[in-house]
Amino acid sequence: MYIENWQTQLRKGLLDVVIMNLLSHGPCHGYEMVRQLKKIEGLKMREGNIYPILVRLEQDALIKSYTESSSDGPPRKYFKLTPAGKAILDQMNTHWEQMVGSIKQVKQGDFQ
Amino acid sequence: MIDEKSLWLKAKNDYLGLIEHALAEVEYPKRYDLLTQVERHLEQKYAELPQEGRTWEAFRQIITEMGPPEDYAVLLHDDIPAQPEQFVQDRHPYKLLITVLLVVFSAAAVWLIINAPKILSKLFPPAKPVVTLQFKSDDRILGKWFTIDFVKTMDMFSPAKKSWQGELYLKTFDFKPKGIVQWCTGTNEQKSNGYWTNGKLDPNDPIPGLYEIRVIDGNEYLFTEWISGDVTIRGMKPQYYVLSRDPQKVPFNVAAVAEKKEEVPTLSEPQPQPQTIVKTEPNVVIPESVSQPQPVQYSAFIIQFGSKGSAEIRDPRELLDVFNQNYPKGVQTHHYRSQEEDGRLTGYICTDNQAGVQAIRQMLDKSNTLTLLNVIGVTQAEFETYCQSGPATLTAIQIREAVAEPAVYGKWLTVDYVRKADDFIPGQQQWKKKLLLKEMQFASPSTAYWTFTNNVIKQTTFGESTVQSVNDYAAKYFRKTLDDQEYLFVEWTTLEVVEKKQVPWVYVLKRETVEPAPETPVARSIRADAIVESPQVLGKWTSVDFVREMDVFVPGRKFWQGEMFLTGLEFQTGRQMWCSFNNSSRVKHSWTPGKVDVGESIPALYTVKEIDGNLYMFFEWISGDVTIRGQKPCYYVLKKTTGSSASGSRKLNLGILIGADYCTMNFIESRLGQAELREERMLKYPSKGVDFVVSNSGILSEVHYNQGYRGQLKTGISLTSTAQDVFRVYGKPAKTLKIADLHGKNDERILYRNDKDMSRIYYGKHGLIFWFRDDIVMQIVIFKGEVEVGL
Repeated sequence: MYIENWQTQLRKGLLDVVIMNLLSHGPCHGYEMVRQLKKIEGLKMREGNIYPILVRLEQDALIKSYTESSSDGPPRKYFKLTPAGKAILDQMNTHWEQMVGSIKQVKQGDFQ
Repeated sequence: MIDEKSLWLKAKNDYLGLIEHALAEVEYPKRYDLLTQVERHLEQKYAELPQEGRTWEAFRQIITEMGPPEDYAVLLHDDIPAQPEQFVQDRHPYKLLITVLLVVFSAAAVWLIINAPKILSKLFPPAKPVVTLQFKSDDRILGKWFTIDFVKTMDMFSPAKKSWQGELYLKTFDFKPKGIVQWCTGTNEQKSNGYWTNGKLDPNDPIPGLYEIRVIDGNEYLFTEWISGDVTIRGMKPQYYVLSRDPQKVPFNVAAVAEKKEEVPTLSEPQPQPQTIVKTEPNVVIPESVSQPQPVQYSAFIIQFGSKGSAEIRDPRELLDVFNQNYPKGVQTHHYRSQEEDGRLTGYICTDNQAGVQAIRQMLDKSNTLTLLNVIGVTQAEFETYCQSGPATLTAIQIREAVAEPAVYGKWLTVDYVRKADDFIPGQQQWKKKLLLKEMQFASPSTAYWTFTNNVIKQTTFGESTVQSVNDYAAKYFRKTLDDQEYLFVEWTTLEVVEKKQVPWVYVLKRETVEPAPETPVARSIRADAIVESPQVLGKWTSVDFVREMDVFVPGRKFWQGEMFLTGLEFQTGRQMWCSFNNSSRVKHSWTPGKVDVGESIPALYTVKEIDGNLYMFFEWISGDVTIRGQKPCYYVLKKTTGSSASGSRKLNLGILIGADYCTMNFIESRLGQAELREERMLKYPSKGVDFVVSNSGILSEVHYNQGYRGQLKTGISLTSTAQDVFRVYGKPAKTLKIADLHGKNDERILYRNDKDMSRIYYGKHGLIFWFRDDIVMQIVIFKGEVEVGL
C-alpha cells in the first residue's frame, strides 16, 4: 500500500514534466498524447489525468492551444510549448537530472 | 444497438457529471474547456471500439482507464510550493534529497488534509461510484410489462379493484437482457432508458428502486418502487407501481381509466398552497349524483388573429414575426398555423396557459398592425386534431369565444358554503366551520381572482357564466338578488367532484363593490417589517433546481431530476410578487426583503447569491413537511432572467466589426487591452467573458460571449435569457433534433439537443448561434455585424 501511494504521488508530481517533454517534440492533441504516453511502461497514467494538467499548464502560459479541424470528428485542440514553457522545461529537466543524480549518489553511499 | 448507445451515453454522462461536480469550484470557462476535452476523448474511445465490442464491460473499462473524477480537481490545483533555490545549490546531496522529499511529502500531506473535506463536500451527496453495476440477470422479469395501478403498499393491491384513480404516469417497462430497461411515461409515452439488475432498478442510484414479482390469482404482477423526491428528499417510504404482463387480464379496464384527464401521480413534486387549500376544504359527504353535466375543461386555447389596417400581411412567416415582436413575455405558445380565409391571411396560435390568453388578448388590443379575431377553447381531443390537421379542422369545432361579462365585475365577499344554491338563506350561515374562500374579484376583461383566508390569491379566467377553478376545472356561477342584495353562487369544482361526477357544493358571495376590480389585487397580509425594495431582487427568476441545502447547488448541474412545480418567481415593486407553477397557474404573494409571505404560518425566506457572475435565489419551499411535520425546508434555486443584472453593465461600442479589414487581433487589443489569453487565432478575455476568433487571413470572424459576459445583444438577449426569450426574438425553431455532438450543426433555425440538457440553435440570417444549458443561454456566438462589448 505504501509503495502504491508513493508511486501515485510521484507520478502525479512528474506528469507536468512528462507532458511538457512530449510537447517539446512538436504540437499534439490530448488524445494523441495519451496514446503516446500509454506506450511507455512505468508511467501508468490514467487517461483522464492529462486534461487538467493541460488546462493548468495553459493557464500558466507554459503551453498554448489552438484548434484545427479533424477528419474524424469535431475540431481538435492542439497544444504546443510557449517560449516561456521551453525555458521552464529546460530548468525542470536540469533539476530532474540533478535529482536522479542525487538519488544515485545516496544509493551508492557517496556522501562526499 | 440503440440500447448500447444509450448505455454508453449514460455511462459517459454520469462520469462527466461527477467530474463537473468535483470541479464545482473551478471557474466556468476552464471547467467547460476541460469537460469538452474529456468528452471528446471519451467519444474517440467509444468510436474506436469495434461494433461487437460495445458492451457494458468495455464501457466500464474506458471509464476506469480515465481515472477517478476527483483526480481532475487534484491535478488542476496549482498550489505546489516552489522549491527554494538553495536546495539545488546545497553541497550535501543527502540533505538535499531528504529535505526535498520531506517538503514534497509534507506539502502533499498538508494539501490532502486541507482539501480532503473540500473534496468530500464537493462530492456531497456522496458521489456514487462511477460504475458499480454488477449485473445479475432475472429471467422472470424479461419482457414488457404494462402499468395497471399505483399503490401505497404492495399488500394494498387487489386485481379486483383499482386503487389509483388518476392517470398512471408510468406506462410500461420493457426489461431487456444485459441489464437494460426501457420505460414509457406521460401522455406522450416518452421513452427513457436505464439499468436493472436482479431485484433492483437503477442500481447505481443512491436509492435504487426495488422490484418484486408476485403471483396473485394465477397472474404475475410486478411491483416497482417509485423513487420520488418524497423518498430521496423527505425520507418517506416509496409507493409502488403495479404492472401486468397483459393489461387485458385485470378486471378493471385500464384503457378506459387512462383516457380520463386526471391528476398525474407526480408524488415527488412539491405542491403549491392552493392545492393544500383544496385538500383541506370542508370535509363533508357530497351526495353522489350524475344529474349535472360534467364541467368542460379546456385543454388549450387557440387564438385567431390577422393583420389590421391597410398594410395587409400576406406572408405567413411575416405574420408570425409581427406577432412575436410584441409577444407578451412569459406566455408559452405553440403550434402556429396560418391559412387564407375569405382572401385574408389568418394566423392561429395555441396556448394552454389561460392567463396567457389574456396577455395575448391585451397585446393584440394594443397592436397597430394585428387584430384579434377569435379565441377558441378546445378540449384535448380537439387540440390534438388541430395539431395534426391544422386550422381547417376548427370549422368542425364548436367556437367558444370567451365573452367578457361586465355584470359580474367587482368584488364579492364569501358569506356561506352550501350543498346547493337553494339552501342559502340570507343572514343564516349554513356552514359553521371556517370559510376558506374569503373573496373573489372579477376584473376586465375576464380575469378572476380567488382570495383565500390564508391570503393566497389565485388568478384564473372567467366568461360565459363559467370561471376557471383553482384546479383548472370549469366552475359554473350565477348571480341572484335576494332581499335587495346581489349574491354570486360559485361552484366549488374540485378534482374529486369531477372524478366522481358529484354535484359540487357552492360558495355564496355577497357583492361588495360594483366597480371593475383592480387588475392585480394585493394580498392582504401586510407584515410590520420595514419595506425596503431591493433592486437586486426585482425582476424575473427562473427555477433551475430544487435542493436540500443551498451548498449542494452547482450551476449547470441539476440535482432535482423530477419536474419542477414552481417554475418561476417575479418580484415587483410595491412588495408584490408572483409564483408561477408548471400547471400555468400564478399565485400572488407579498414580499419584504429576505422573505415572502406565502400565506402559511411561517414565511418563505430567500437568499440571493452571485455565483459565476450570475444571480441565484434560494427560495425556501414551505410545504406541509415544514409547517406540519417541522422539517427543514428545501430550496428552489432560481436564476435571474430579467431585471437588474449581477453587477450592472454598460455597453461600449468599440468599432469592432466582424469581417472588417482593419479588425485584426492587434486592433482588438488596441481597443480592449492585451488579451488575457492569446492563441494563434484567438484572443480571450475571460474576465469580460468574451473571446475573439480571427480567420486565416487574420480578420475577426467570430465573437463568443461566454459565462461572465455582462452585456447583452441589441435585442436585449443576454446570457441570462431563456431559450423562449431567444425564440421570441429570433424565431422559434423550425424543428428540434436530438444529436450527441452539437458542434458544427449550422442548419437554419434547427434546435439541436443532446442528452446533457444542452442545446444549440443557428440563426444564419442574424449571424448568431446560441448555446443553451437547461434552456438558459450559455454562450452566444456572433459571426456577422458590429459587436458591442459589455464591461
